[in-house]
Amino acid sequence: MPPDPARLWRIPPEADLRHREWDGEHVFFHGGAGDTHRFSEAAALVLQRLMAAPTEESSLATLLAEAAAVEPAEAAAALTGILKELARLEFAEPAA
Amino acid sequence: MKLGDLTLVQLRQRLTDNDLALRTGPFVTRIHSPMPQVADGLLRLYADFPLDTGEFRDFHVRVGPPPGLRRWLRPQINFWYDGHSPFKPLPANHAFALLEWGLNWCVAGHAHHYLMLHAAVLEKNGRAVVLPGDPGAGKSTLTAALMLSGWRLLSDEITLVDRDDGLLVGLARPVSLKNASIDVIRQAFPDAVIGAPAHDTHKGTVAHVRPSADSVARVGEKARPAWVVFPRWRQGATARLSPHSRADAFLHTASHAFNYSLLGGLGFELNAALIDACECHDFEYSRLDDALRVFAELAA
Repeated sequence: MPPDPARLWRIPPEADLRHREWDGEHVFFHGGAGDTHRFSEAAALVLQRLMAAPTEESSLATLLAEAAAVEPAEAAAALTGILKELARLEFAEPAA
Repeated sequence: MKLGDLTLVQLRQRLTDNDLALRTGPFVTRIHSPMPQVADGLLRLYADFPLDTGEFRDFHVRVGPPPGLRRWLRPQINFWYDGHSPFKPLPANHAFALLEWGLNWCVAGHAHHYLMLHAAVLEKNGRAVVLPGDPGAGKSTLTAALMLSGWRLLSDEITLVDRDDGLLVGLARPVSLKNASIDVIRQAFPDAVIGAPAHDTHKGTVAHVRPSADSVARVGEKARPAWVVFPRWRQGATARLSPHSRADAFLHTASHAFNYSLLGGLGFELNAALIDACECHDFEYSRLDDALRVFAELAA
């Protein structure tokens, strides 16, 4: 899936995500699938934002760039990989 | 009435007559068996446990010879739960070990009103330590040693987490030792009551340690989780605790739980609350006395 700054991402409605953080390590539970995963801090930041509300790819990239203090282009490249992995695991999906 | 109030003859008769209901923590099991090894093992290891006179039984089990000609040629025993047999027959002299495995199977397969972790759990001074451990890690040896040194045993194999309050619920059933650990405990604690060993089981030689009287008497007291400790026996290792990632501890306990997935979001929340409440450590040791000193300092 090519990057699209205007694409809106969300948590799948059936996912019923739950989250815990211990000492900077993040564990998420997908209630629909019953799967538990440990994610990186970057992926956790994205997921926590999406758990609050569906968010455009460009906003997620900005969030990531600010949190990691990197250039927006670098954050956008990392975000593409993060979203691809989250989509593969069905923890996030494009909203329609 | 306690099981130990019966004579061996009375106990054998009640087991043969399917007239023995044993309470182990929150569970009552009706045990039916004509096997003398079962009566001997129960009297030796469960003497302090109460017999139940109520109407309700959680589990109905039977340990006895399977039907057929084979039992006359090569004596075997089998385990039945509510009339069906989940295991293959074993040599007859494994009868008591099979009962123990069967009782574990009953709890692990049915008690889904708890989160059930594959871990030992003991309590001291109001705080409980949960000991997950891969086979051969020295979990049961350490569990037996701690119990015989004054820690209250809640369970050797199955940690029950109460879904209402997240506290830990005791079973206080005998501790299962394997192979070399049997002699290690025998030498370190000459007064420990250890059942007859079952040789050549799929786990090697297995023998069970009688739970302390205090553990049985206080089995109804729930315990507050304080530590998750991953023990590992390594020859020559100095006994020491080192930090263990709590996220990793969560994933380990979840992946080794009996019903984490079955409980869905509740399983996640209960296990997460357990980890929230606990310090998590790795623990390497080689000498039991050093291990006990470290745990005494932990609980001080």
